[in-house]
Amino acid sequence: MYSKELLKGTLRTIILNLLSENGKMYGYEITQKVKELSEGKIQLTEGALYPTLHKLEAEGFLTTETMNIGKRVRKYYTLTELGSEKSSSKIKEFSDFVATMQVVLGGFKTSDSK
Amino acid sequence: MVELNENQVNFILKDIKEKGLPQSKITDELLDHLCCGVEVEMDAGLNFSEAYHKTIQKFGPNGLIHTHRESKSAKEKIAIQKKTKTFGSMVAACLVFLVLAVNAKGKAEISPVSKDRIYTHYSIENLIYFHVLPNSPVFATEAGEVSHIYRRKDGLYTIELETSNNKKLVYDLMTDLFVTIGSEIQKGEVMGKAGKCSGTHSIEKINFLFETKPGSPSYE
Repeated sequence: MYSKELLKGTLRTIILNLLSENGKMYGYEITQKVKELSEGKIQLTEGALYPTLHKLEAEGFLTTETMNIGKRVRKYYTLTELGSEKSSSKIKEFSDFVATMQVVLGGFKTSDSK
Repeated sequence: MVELNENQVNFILKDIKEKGLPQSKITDELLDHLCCGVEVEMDAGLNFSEAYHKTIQKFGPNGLIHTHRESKSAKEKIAIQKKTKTFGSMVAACLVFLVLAVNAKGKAEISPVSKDRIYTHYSIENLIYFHVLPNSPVFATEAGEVSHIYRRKDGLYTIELETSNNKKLVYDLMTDLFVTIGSEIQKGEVMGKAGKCSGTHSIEKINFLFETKPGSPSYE
């Protein structure tokens, strides 16, 4: 599990990228997908996920539709055109960041690197 | 895949309402989230009660309320930012310039339309004027429930907020409200925008807030 601090700056990028690759998704599905892709190393908390989703929606990056399942209401999120652009730019920014960090941290030297 | 029946969904809904979640679209979404979590745990072999306990624990103490509040406020902040873009900042430049202790008593019959009228309706403990730019967001200074909203003759609104210790906070000269009667407001939450008042006030840009004594009469 990675620390909250480390994940904090990447949550928007994760959400935007997931939606870009999977089309429409609902909140719980997003948490499960991230858990699966990261093999359990990234576990999104509800307290971080939903405020971020609602913020992205309010900013116009996501659009929503709801589906009634009995008494339950499932809310699906989809990228808007603006959201697709944002997703691309966030991924590019993050790749650059990782490359830069690699340089700054000297090629990610760890205790077990040769 | 286990699918919760209506009774089980109702149980969860009742429980989260008892935990303090208001009826809202965010609550609907969190209900579905919890149901999904419970179903996954039940698939793994837990019974409903164990599965629900485990799922709700993941939110942590007050996690549901926190998630609801943060989601709501994330939306509202963006809405405000959009509306106040022309002002460059969503932080209201408030200058408290007067604190009065007034103890006006008595009731008038007609609805409140002016500062003077409000004096006669409330036993006012503290009256605080704020210089506020029109269209600046107005934040709740304490948590509470919106007990009344009055529409003034000039089209602006007066919001009455009742706190848990029965204190009433009154925010006058408001416009573009984000709240309705019965809304549960957290401290710091945006309730609306400062309206531009004209006419009777010597200073054009003014809003004020005051507290009343517990149990003192409200508008009637």
